[in-house]
Amino acid sequence: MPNSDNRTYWLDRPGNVNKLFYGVVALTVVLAIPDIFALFNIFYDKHPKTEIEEIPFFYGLYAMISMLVLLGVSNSVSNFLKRDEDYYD
Amino acid sequence: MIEGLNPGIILILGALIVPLTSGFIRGILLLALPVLGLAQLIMLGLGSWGQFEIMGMQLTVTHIDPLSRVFGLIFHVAAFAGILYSLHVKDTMQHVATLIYAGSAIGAVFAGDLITLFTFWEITAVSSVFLIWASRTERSFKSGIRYLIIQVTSGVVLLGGIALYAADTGSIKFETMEFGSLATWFFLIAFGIKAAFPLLHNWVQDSYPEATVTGSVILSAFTTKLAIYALARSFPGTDLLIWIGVVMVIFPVVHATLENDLRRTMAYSLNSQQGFMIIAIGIGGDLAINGVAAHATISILYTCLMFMVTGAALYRTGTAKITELGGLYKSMPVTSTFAILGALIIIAAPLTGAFATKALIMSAALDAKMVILWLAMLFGAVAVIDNVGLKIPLFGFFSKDNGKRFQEAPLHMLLAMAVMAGFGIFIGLSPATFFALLPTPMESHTYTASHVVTQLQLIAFAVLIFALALRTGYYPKMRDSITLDFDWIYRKAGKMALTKTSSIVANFWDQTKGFGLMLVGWAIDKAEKSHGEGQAMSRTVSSGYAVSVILILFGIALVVIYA
Repeated sequence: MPNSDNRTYWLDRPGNVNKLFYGVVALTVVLAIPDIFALFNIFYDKHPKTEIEEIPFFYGLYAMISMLVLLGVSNSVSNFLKRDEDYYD
Repeated sequence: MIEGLNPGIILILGALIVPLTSGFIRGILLLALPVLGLAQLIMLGLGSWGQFEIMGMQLTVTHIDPLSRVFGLIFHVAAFAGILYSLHVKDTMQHVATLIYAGSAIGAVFAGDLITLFTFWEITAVSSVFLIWASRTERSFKSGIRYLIIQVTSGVVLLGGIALYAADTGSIKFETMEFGSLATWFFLIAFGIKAAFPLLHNWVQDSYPEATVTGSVILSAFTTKLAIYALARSFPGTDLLIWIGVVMVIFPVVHATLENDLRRTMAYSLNSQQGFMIIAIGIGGDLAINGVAAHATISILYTCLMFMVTGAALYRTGTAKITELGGLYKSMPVTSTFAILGALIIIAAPLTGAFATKALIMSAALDAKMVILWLAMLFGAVAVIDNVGLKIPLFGFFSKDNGKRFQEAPLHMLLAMAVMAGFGIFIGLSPATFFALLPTPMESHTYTASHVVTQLQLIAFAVLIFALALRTGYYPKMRDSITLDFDWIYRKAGKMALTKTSSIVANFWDQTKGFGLMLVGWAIDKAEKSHGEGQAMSRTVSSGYAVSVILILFGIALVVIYA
């Protein structure tokens, strides 16, 4: 079908992608709060099963490090591993 | 129904009637068969049936225990949803292949002995290849051949293992085995091929994206999870599996990040998820094996769902490549919603099934004090947030509009997605209901404050880095290309080595033949010079001359002998 709808979608409006991004940033801040409480032993208990989990913001930090490692490795092997679509044909 | 009939056989026999039907009747028949199988499974309850002796071996065609029941249940659900998803297909070959494939996978799960297991194991291999060939392209044909070679190899190795095992132990019962003997190594390799162990894995990423739209949905559900079941049944608590599993979790995620084809991205991610289950089998124990069964179930739900949404995109647009898709959410809003739901399940967001099931495996690792292992799995959990959770919905459905518009996916496809998403979320909302089906009864504490907070933190911070990487351009650019993997060894290096070797051999042969011909030519030449027409040795001489020569020779002989 040709491009028949001229509706403007929320994502198309300028600035809304930025809003989404700041939403994500805000969410990470909110989710870090319980760890701050845990530092002072109020409201929230962490129930750590290992010592590693006692590090403040462990899960957030670990997620960030993992993502950076994943993207870093992917970027560095990309040129070495990429071939044209018909490489095997 | 026949007492103790293996539910899988209902689907296989039903497949034989399918070619006689058409249109609406066929649709009803296709959908009814998995329902009948499920009814048979539920009516049977737990126990063993169909026991008989053949050539001194005790066969048990149907054996249902709590472990096999979980896999059997989800296989029926996947068969039903997969068939619902493919109702528009007018290809009898695909319908028959789907039913025989699903039926044999179910049959294998309920096999009580190794011979029955082997029989169904081979039928899954031979029937499923038709779902790849059904694409009817040269590429899919070649891919199908590679798939078939690998799958049948698994079966042959299994058969070898069975022969050795029967000779060793005198039993062919399919049960927990002590790992170590040659026979068990054979089993490990046979199961490992289908489970997509590292270096044995390429058939998944090679063939699943070449199958038809509906074929890859069906394929993704059975073979790899059947292998998980077989390993969980035979080798729980085998340490070797832990390390195989760790490599499996980590190895495929880089490829999944770089991959441009949505279905191949899923195939890599599926491979990484298999690793979680292999690790849990290696840990062993009640909690871990519960984790295997539970996570296999959820894994089938979300993997099928993601193959369904990417398949729907392919069905409507003719491509599943990120570089060719754009703004699909405007054309296919319902499918896009299911893509987000599937993504939420796969990243183990709270209120979804994987939140409950992945935790079982993670805590089994921590209970066993395996912190490094736990960190490796946590890395895998973050990677899947990127690979599937964000990449597939964002790059596949919510990418920049390219101006093209398509129709929403057909209703039956959307209903099939709803079945998978529904179960995936229901298990998250009510984990206890589902956990009651697991092999060992246990208490579950899925929704503790710390579990919810830590998981949300993991997801949110991974999303943050993803968003930052996109904004700064650090995220790997999607290109219309393929990414080399281990199969390069046999598809390119092996081929090159063979071509090289054969050209060396051919060259050597040419040289040898040339030398031989030269030799013969020289001999003929020489012979012609001495014995040829008119030459010394072929000249006709007068008899007197001949007699004189003979006399001279006699004379010499006389002198030499009697002198």
